[in-house]
Amino acid sequence: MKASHLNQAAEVLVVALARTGDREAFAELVNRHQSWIRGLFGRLGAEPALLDDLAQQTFLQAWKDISGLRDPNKFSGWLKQIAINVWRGYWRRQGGGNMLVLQDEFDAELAIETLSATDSNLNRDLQSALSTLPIEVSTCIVLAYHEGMSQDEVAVALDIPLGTVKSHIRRGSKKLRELLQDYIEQDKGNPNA
Amino acid sequence: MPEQNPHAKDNSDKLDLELEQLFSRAAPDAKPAFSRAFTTKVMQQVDRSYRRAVMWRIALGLIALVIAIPLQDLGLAVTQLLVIEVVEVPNHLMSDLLTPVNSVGAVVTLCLLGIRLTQKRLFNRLAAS
Repeated sequence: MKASHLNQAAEVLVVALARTGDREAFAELVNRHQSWIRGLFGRLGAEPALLDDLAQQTFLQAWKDISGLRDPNKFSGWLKQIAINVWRGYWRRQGGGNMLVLQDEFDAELAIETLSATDSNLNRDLQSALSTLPIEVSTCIVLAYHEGMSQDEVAVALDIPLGTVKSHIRRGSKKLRELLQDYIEQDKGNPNA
Repeated sequence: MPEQNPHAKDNSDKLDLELEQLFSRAAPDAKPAFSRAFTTKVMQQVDRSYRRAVMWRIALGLIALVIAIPLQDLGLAVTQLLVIEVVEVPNHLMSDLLTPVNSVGAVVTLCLLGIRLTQKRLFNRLAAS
């Protein structure tokens, strides 16, 4: 199938073609999902250069394993799990330990100043606020809030107990609220924001 | 109204609604622009990985071939040895029919089965005592 036809084809068909080793079909999948995967790594806190590197690793792993993907309808979830594994692997190699470790001292380490609200800065300030959280906490927060995963799904994806995920999200949410208070107040004042 | 335990774990699966709104407002800016260069880089890596896999398969095939040539003679000799008759049967047809039980291979199989049975009995006795 030509590339021009591929970009109009249904996802399930493109995935099915890529599973057979079709290089063009896989390139089309990279085109379709690259912004999402790169955005996810960016939100998880990766620097721009690292972000592209991790996203490339994710797609390369996907290419190697795609023949084992049983249901082409589940490609997005499957790809996200690869991205999460790549992220966890990166942190393990960096000596960041595993996601299970609770850092009780993280409250003390945080910059407590509240970030001032202007809508154009929201993305940047949200990222700064996330970067003050320990990596295991910010990962749970990003998967839950940015990716819309349920806490059970986060627990399965990160292979950590549900109670730990709940604790990470509770503590992280509390801290984010403190840091982004201005934006939350702004939202309350303008419900259509 | 039941008293709430302040140390009880929060089991609610609900997220902070206001934070959810903040994340969704920031989401469009968090998405990097589409980059053709990125796809090109990924596909270059895919090609490199494919070439590496092919090279590995060729290398493994060559190694298997190098090992197989000397082993072929040995395999042939073993095959010829295993079908040698233990008791000579003059009738050619009968000889062929009896080969599974009247051959070196059959004797070797019986010996191996005997060893296995003896081993089992010995271990069972040891386990019982």
